[in-house]
Amino acid sequence: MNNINLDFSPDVEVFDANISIGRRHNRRMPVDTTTQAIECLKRAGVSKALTFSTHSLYVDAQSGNNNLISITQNSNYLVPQLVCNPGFESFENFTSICTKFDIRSIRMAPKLHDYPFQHWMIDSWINWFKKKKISIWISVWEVNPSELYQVIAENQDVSFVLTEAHYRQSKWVLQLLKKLKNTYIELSRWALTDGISLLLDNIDEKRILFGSRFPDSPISPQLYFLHNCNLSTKTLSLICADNLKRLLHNENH
Amino acid sequence: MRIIDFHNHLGRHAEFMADDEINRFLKIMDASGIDQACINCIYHYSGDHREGNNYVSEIVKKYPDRFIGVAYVSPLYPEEVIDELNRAFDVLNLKYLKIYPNYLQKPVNDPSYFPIFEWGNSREIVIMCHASYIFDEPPYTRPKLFVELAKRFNKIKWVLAHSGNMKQGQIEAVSAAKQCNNIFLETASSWGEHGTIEYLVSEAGEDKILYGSDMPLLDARNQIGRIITANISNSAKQKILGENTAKLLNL
Repeated sequence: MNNINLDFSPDVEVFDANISIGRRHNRRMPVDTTTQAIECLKRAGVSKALTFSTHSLYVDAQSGNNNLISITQNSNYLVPQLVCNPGFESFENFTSICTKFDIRSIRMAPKLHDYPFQHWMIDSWINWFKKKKISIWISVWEVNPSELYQVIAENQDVSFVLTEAHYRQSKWVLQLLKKLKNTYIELSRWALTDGISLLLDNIDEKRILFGSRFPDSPISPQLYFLHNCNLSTKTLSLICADNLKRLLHNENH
Repeated sequence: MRIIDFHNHLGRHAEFMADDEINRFLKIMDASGIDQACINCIYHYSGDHREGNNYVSEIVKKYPDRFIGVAYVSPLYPEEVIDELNRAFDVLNLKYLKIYPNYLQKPVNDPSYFPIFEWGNSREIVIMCHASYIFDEPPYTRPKLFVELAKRFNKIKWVLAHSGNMKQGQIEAVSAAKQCNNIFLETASSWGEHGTIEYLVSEAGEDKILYGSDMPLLDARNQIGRIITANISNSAKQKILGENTAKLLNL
């Protein structure tokens, strides 16, 4: 017999490093309005969420980003993350929006947006992100591991956050994290057995970020997992919010 | 409350970074609040289903309060299957049968499975089968295939592992469970979107859902978190976390 509590809520502040909002064109999602998304965040005990537009990712970065800015501008919950498509975006337009709205992180999707993740394609963008200390989120499903390694190794003063790592990529992701200290891991799909201990045994706790991938995944199971890993309050706080705050260079976000 | 995890594996599997080191298994069960875990061995290093079943039995004998043994047979060796089923259930006292058509590279309704299903039907056993769509290609185990089987072999209680996995599969799994009283849905998945457990409960009914983690492929703390944090009643959570399995397996 156990004393498991069926009513879970997080013990620490939670700043989700990976949610998306917006309707999709190819299917109806269970949550597809900003109001619903915020209700789900509140119910899960999440105080803020780094948010990108699904339209930016799947259809067009510029129009999705503009819509995201208008949605998040007065939100206490949603912190905007722009999607960058260097193959189609205007560099001047994208960088001016980043500057105007103090964007602290961007997301790249080389496979979805059909471009090689190589220096001759992305150098000017990466150099600008480096200058502005903007961090780069990239899904491990979205990139060739060798290309990713090369770009990260060549840009060690840029922070890269590897998102949605699943057991399918876990072997190379772990090695890459161990080799390159400017990489972080977002945990939304990191559900392999004892996976949190595996990370803590191999990389600094300051490089681990809670993210949910909501609404493609539920918010709370990974929080529940983290709360049952016998972590200190300090470590739990770092993973659930503080590391992300530090990465965005802005405690006020 | 008694928590029973319906879906776990013994053996190592590199693709999933899965390692069945038993103390770690027990540590995670304890941290998750799991009282008992059903264990099968579908990837024993010998490749022999009999050896896999022996290994399961050995672990159950060592930890009788923590593990419930599950049989596995492969139709690649039809000449061994019936004898092994008799031994697994009558001698080793394993509680249900797991099958995995992806190894066979034929759909679950392929006739090579029928001797197993006929035996299972005569014994009125529980069979759990991997049931995933569109994650697995070709779709040997897409949930809609089970409707015909559940009607033909209607004394078997069918459990669809992963409840179809991705959304398209979940829709088929729910439809199968609604059409057939003898189809149940198991929850382990690394794919489920927001609202998956709520969807399964509202459409298939809380009596038909069984909590499983698929450990050591996935961590039970993450998987049990999908049930505990779902927006469903506590009584539904209790049924899913153990009561339904206890009833299904007559525990």
